[in-house]
Amino acid sequence: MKKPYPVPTPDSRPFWNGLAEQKILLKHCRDCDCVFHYPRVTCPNCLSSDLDWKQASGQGTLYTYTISRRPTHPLFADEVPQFMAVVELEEGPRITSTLLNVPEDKIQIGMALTPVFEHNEKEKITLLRFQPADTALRGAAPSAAEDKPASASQLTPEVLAYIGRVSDKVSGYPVSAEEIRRFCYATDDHNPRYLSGEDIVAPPMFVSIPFDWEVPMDSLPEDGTPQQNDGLVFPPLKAKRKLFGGYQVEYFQEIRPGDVLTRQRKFLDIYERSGASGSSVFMLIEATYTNQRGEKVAVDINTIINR
Amino acid sequence: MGLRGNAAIAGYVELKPEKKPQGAPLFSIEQWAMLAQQALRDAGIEKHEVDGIVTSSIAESAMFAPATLAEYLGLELNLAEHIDLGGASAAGAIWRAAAAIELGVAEVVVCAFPAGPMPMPVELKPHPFPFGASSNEYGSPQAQFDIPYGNLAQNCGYAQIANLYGARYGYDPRALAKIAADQRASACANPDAIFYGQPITIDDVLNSPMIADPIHLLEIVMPVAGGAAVVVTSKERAARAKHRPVRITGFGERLAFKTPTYAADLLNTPIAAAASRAFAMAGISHADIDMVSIYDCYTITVLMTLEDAGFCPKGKAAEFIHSHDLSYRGDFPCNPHGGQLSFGQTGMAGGMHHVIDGARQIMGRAGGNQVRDCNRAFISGNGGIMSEQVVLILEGA
Amino acid sequence: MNEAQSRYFEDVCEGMELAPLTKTVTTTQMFLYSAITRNPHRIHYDEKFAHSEGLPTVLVQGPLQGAQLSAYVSDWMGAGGFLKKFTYSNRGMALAGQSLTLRGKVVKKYELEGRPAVDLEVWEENATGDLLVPATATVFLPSRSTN
Repeated sequence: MKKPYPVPTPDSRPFWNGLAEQKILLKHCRDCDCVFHYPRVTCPNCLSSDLDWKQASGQGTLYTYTISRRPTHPLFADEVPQFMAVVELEEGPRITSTLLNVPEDKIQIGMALTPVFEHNEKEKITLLRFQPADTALRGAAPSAAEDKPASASQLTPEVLAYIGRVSDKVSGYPVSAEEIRRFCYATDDHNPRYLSGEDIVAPPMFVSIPFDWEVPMDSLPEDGTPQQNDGLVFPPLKAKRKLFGGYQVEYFQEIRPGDVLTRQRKFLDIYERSGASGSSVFMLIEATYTNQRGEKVAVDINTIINR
Repeated sequence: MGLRGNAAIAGYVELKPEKKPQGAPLFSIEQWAMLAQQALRDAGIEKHEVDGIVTSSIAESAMFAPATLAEYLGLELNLAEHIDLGGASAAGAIWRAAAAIELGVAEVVVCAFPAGPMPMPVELKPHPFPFGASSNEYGSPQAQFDIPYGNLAQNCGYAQIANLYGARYGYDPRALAKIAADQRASACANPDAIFYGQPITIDDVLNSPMIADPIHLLEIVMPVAGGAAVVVTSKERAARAKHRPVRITGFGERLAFKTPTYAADLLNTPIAAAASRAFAMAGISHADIDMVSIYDCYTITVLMTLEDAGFCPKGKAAEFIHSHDLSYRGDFPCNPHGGQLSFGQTGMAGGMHHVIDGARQIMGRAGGNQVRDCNRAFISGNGGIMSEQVVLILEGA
Repeated sequence: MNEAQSRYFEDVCEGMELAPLTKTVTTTQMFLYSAITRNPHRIHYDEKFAHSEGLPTVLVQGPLQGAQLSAYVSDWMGAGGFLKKFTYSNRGMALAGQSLTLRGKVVKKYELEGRPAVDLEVWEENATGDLLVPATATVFLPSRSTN
């Protein structure tokens, strides 16, 4: 789901076009002289539809606000802490907005505000935000990273030191026609090249199968996530869940029954991304596969997400 | 004008709330049927006597929910009502049922609000309400003017009310925290409450994480699974049922906005108009009330309700809270079963917690949480962001 | 087409779409895949464990989805082709019993390392059209002129 932006309607379009030209347009009732926001086809005071538009001065005061320490929706995680404001325009109507360029301790209900027209070229829309009218009260709001305890980086020097570490070189189970067949049946792949004839080859995704190692039950973690036997130790992270994020591979040789593959793995990269539910650490593990003739068979990269 | 007290609550069911539901999931319609069965058994009223229902939305029937329920349960109805008032739906359902009964339209009305886990759909669909209580449909005012600024969900709006209250009257965080602590004391006497056995102090509340200034984590309800139903019938039929009838003698309902930005005055909540109508209808005053059950999605909701419903002067709720024990054994019992803050918020059934809270006390069925000599209760329902509110006055027959 | 036949470079054009293929991963298949990959992770077979992780049911193995997409490409290219590069990312979850559709198209025809090559975009989506697994493939195809 993408972050929501306003979609103007036939009735509201002048308001949004106005913002693009740095003007705040309010609906005005020619019958009762009421000025209102948001735009409607009838006046909320007298229900007349004899309406026109009036340009507001743009000046307003802070009616109320809150600083949301948690995203109000996962799609707004990038804006935390969110300075959620209700602004009362000089002409009377109130408007939902957010505050910019103000340190937390300078925010006061009733403070004078001035508009900031924030144009988003990609979305073709201008949002109306506000900042203190008094330039002495302006200043940078603390960034999300400083404010959120959860966003303290998991990438300690100790964790970063794992980048570049390599595993032992280990040999996998010998490739057999039976194991290839089991793999094909499990992936619902009926390609005859893998299943019958003189020259059976393994399907490409088979390459890591001979390295999926059995370990005794008492060596398994509680969630059952599989372990490997090549001595590659994972960095210590707060995150407990490991999710499979993706895979890329390049092939150089076919794999055939009778082949014995050797593999060596390496931490290619470790990086962090922040999202709604806290930060995730991405680990990229590269593996190089060679066969018994010393020929390079494949190189793959697994992305593992620690969340 | 208004009710004459000729309709009464005769029975109810409130499922024990669960954080991780143990039982088999049921569709809303199945939950509805099971809740109706249990509430009718509790009242001692037969299924064939039922001639009215009031329901919230039914997940499997976006349209024609009452007719589908009538068919499923095998009912023939003279009153079929679908109510859409958020947290005020339950209290709103009760007065609608009572009004229909007093008009002679219906004799036995079941109001049920399922809130349990449902079986997983065969094909996962996008969430029906991806922005919670705000609509992101094209043309929705919220989609255009509020959601793009991140103004959605509940915390933000309630926090804006709390900050505005603070600017106008002064903010006493310890008074707000005491509401949560006192209700927790009640929950610790109620084995059904989700936080049973976990007492908290004012400092615990103030030391919990700040979610949206000035609201702390322990001042916000926790969503849990559950479900509740109430049977409303005529005073005469209730007198022949199993329990002491709980008459509905007054109600008021008021709503005027959806998003707090557009409220005429955010500090004059709709509960004021609803409460004064309800008291006038019942012909009693605040001093006659033995307990209150106030919709408590946040502590600030309780504070605002105490003031706007007239239990204390405007701007004086902090003093009032400090000078009274709000627990079930106190001098001003408020949410004696724990309230949603400590019992758990069971979705749309959360509003019914307060209705049943009052009925249970007046029937004398509150066990260890029983308020002594409890004959009259003030109940509030609150939907949206203090935007849709309903008050009920309940009195024992 | 019959997987044993070859698809020739000359018969392919940019923008050409692969015939969609709809599959449903059953818990039986997931069991077989966990077995062949010697993967005891409970998220793939223990429904209660999946619930405790906030999922409505057991989660389809990410690499199984990748293997299905890889097979989809291999079936398309036929016996004479060679899968040179393949990349996928598990962007959305798939749950047991959901119907999944594989789709793809040819995005580029060119020469790579002196051989006729084709780049494909393939992907897996669920019944509501949400993109679950985007993937790209580079395949070598036989040419009629050299054969």
